[in-house]
Amino acid sequence: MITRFTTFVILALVLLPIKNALAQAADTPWQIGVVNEDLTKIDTTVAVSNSGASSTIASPQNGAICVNVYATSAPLSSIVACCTCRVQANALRAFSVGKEVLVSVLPKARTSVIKLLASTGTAGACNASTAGIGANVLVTGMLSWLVPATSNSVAAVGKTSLNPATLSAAELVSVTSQCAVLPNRACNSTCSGP
Amino acid sequence: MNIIIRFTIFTLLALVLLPIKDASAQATDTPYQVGVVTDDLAKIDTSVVLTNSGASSTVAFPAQNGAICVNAYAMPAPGIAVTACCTCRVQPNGLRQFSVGKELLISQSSVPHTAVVKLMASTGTGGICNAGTVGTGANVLVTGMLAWRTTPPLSSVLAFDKTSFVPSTLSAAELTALDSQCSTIGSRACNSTCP
Repeated sequence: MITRFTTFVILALVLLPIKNALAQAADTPWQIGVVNEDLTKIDTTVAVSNSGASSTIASPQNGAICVNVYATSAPLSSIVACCTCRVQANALRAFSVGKEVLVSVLPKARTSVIKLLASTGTAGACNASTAGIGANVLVTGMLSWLVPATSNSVAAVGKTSLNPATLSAAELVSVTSQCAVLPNRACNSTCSGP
Repeated sequence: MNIIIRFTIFTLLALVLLPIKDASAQATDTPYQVGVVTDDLAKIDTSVVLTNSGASSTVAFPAQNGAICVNAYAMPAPGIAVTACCTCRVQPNGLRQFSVGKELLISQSSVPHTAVVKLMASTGTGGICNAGTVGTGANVLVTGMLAWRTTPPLSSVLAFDKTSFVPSTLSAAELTALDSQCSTIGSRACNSTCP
C-alpha cells in the first residue's frame, strides 16, 4: 500500500510541472484572428515566429515549421484564399493580409477571419492544402500576431496575438479541402526559403 | 505482480491523457468569456467582434455544420444586474460584430459609461438562439467562440484597439443568474446580421 502511494505521489510530482508548463504555452498549432478594420483603407500584417518548440537538434538547429494561412472575406464564411510561410526556429516573417494573402480576391475584402495552422510540411515543402495529412503533421511552435498598418509614421501600431483554438476534425477537412482548389503558394517571397 | 500491472496501466493512461488535456487547456475558444468596457460608452462606442473556430463541427461536407449561438449579457456599472441581453448566430469561419452601446444596450434609458459584458456559447434549440435558456434542455454550451472587444480609432489613419475576451469559469449559480435575468428582459438578436 505504501509502495503504491509513493509511486502515485512521485508520478504526480513528475507530471504536474510538465502539465503546467504546457498549459501556459500559446504556440499551439491552430490559431485564429479577425481583421475588422476596412482592409481597403488600412492593411493588416500577420507577423509570425517560431518558438523552437519542435526543434530536436540545437546546432544547426532544426524544427522549421510551415505556417499555413486560410482567409475568409466576410460576410462569407468560406475560405477564399490560402498560402503558406516557412519559418525557421527564432525567425520572424511577416506578410500583408490585404496585399498578399487576399491579393487575388475580388471584390476586395474589407474584413476577414484569419486562421493559421502550423505543420511540418512534407520533405521540407510547405503545402496549406495537405496540413494534417500524411507526413505534413501538425506541430507546436507557432507564435503569431496581427499588426494593423497606419499611415501615421509616428504612431505606434497595436499588436494583437492570434488566439489558440480547438481544431475539430471536420474543421481541418473543411479548410484544407477548400484550400486544395485554390493555388498552393507562398504568402510572399520571404516565406519560400529553407 | 498485480501492483506492477496496475502501475503500468496507470502510467500509460496518464501519458495518453496528459497531452489531450493540455491541448484543450491551451485553447481560448471556451463557452464562457468575460470582458469589460472601461471607455466611456456615451463618448466612445465599443463593438464585440466574434468568430467561430469550428471546434463544434462534426461534418465538413456538403455544408459544414457547427454553427454556434453567442449569447451576450451586459451589466452596466456600478450595478451588477443584467440589464440587456441578446444573441448572435455565428457559422464556422463567420465574422459577426455588434455595438455594445448602440445595439446590446440600445433599450437602456441612458447609455451607461462602463459595463461588464459576458458571453456564453451554446448550440441553440432547433437552430434558434435564445440567451435566456442557455445550458438548459437542448441549448447546451459548446466550444468554438472567439471574441474581441474593439474600440474605433480616434483618427481614420489608426487601427482599432482590439482586446480578447477572457475565458472564465462558469458556475452553476452564475449560469442560472444570467439565464433567469435574461428571460425576464427577453432574448433578441443583437442586430440584423445575427438572425
